[in-house]
Amino acid sequence: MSVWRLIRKEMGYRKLDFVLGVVAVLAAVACLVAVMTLLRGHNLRLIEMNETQVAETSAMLDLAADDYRKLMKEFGYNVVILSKDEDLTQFYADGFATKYMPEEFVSRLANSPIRSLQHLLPTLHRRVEWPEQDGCPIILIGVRGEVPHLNDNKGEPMIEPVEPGAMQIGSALHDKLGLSAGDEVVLMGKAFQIASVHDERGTSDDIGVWIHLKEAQELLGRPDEVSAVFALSCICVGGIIQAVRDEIGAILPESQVVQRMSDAYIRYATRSRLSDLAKETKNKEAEYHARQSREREGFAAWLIPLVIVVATLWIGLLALGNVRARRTEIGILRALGMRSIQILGVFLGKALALGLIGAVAGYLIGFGVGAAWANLEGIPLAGGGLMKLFEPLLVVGVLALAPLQACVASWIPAMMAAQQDPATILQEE
Amino acid sequence: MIHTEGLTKVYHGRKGHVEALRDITMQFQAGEFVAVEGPSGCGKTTLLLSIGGLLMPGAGSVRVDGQDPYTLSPEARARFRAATIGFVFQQFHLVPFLDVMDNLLVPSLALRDAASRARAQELAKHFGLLDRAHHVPAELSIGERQRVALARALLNRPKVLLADEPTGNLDGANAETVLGYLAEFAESGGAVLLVTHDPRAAGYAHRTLHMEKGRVVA
Repeated sequence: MSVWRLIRKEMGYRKLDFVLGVVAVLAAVACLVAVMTLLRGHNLRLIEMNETQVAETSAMLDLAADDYRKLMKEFGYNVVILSKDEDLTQFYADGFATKYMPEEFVSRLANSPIRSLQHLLPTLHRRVEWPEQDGCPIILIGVRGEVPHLNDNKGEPMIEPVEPGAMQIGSALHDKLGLSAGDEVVLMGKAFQIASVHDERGTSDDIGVWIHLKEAQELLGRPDEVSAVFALSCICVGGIIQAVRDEIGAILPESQVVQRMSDAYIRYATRSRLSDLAKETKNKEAEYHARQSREREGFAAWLIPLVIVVATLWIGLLALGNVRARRTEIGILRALGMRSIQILGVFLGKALALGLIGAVAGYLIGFGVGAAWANLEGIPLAGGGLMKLFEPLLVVGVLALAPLQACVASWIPAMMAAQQDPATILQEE
Repeated sequence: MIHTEGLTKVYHGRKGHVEALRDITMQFQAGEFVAVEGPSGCGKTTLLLSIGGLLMPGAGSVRVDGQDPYTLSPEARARFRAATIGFVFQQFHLVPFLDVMDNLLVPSLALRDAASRARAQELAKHFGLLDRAHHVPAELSIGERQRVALARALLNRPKVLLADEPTGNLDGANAETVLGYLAEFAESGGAVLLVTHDPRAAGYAHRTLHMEKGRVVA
């Protein structure tokens, strides 16, 4: 005869009592394990998703960058050829050149063997006040369209010429002066017909007035002169602008070359923006998943302790009931010589047993439920997925802590049993 | 074997004090069968529990087999009780979920003795319980239950047997059987203190003491 045999026989005798105790532990353990398994599944999926996402984003970015590179590889630099006398600080302050150079410079460039130059656009800029429109400030721009290049390598023209007698105006002038396409206007004593109104550009172009170069030269008193020659989309081998400058300088030593915001810069900016967008999207996705994880962990943070506390109280009450039901038995065991510590052992031994059985059953049920739940939420179980949900530390923790929890819950009733006075019990019988 | 000197026990309750034992001095030897009778509430059970080391007296002393159990620590007293004293009760107090053999072995939980199982077999045979060895108390007759309780009390070969109205729930034949076993224990050298209302006990006891209001009056 041993204390353990006594415990086993009693558990078999009061089956309902024992089963209810096991159910309490089982419920707490199953709840804990199911939630932890589900959380583990989510975390694993999150890590996997992040890795996949990083790879996908990276691949997408590479692909996009490559696409942009291919699309823009034909794009080049924009340069402006100015008079050597032009003060660049003034040029940048005004937004246009104020010194003049012979229009013949354009012909020299057009007839030169330079292969890098494309789309040569001679222009004459001047800020003036439109006398016939109450002195409204405008930027008068004389253009003659593209000058054909000797090499004829420029493809479609980028800018159509303005016909003599015609005028194109910026959107701000349309808004302010109420001018529209087809209107007859007079500028500095010369009659023009508005051919078109440009869309809003948000630049000084919105107060621009484009007329034919010859007419502009006449109105501004600068015959056969231009203020700038734009060379757009120049092919710049290896991206070295200095090579273009050197070539132009060799033909037009009286000029200087300024690089304007180029397609290359646009290309860089576009790629940067694309990269930023991809990173931002990835961060938002990660933040969303992290928030979901936090919400789930927050839910578990109150659910698990609640279940454990309820289960502990439940086990404690069952143990108390058990002590009361076995009062006489305790009295006779004590009378027959069993010591207090042995009585304590009888009750804690039972708690240990039901804690262990509840832990094993609870783990199996909880893991099954957690895995099934995770599967319902899209976490695959096949192909080793189930094993990934398995957490050895959780098994060890549950098998160690659940019996401990049952013992803690039964401690006070067990102490009460151990301290019962056999004489009092036997006298009551 | 048993010696009490000025044994006194007072219960303190909300309705006042009850003097359960008043200056009881008595002595009996090994091999002696003593019956104690008296009306309910006269202190018989209190006397038995005090001698049995379960209820500390308010005054006076008890010596069982030369040892005052109340000078021992609770744990040592429990061991002393298990080794020296056997108890039999009117309600049998068998453990309901243990079969006969396991019930007989319950006292071995207090004293680890490798020979306990053989001793239990021997007692089961002696008390005619072998064919009921694997039955639980609920499956036994009243007489059989009391025989199991008696056999259990003897497992650790005690020197003293304290019996609290063991025949109270038994019919005539079974009561005679139990009294016969008690007498047999005394004849084998043990001391028996029997608290009883049963007039048949006088026929088996060497002495009969009468108690009234906490005193031995005859």
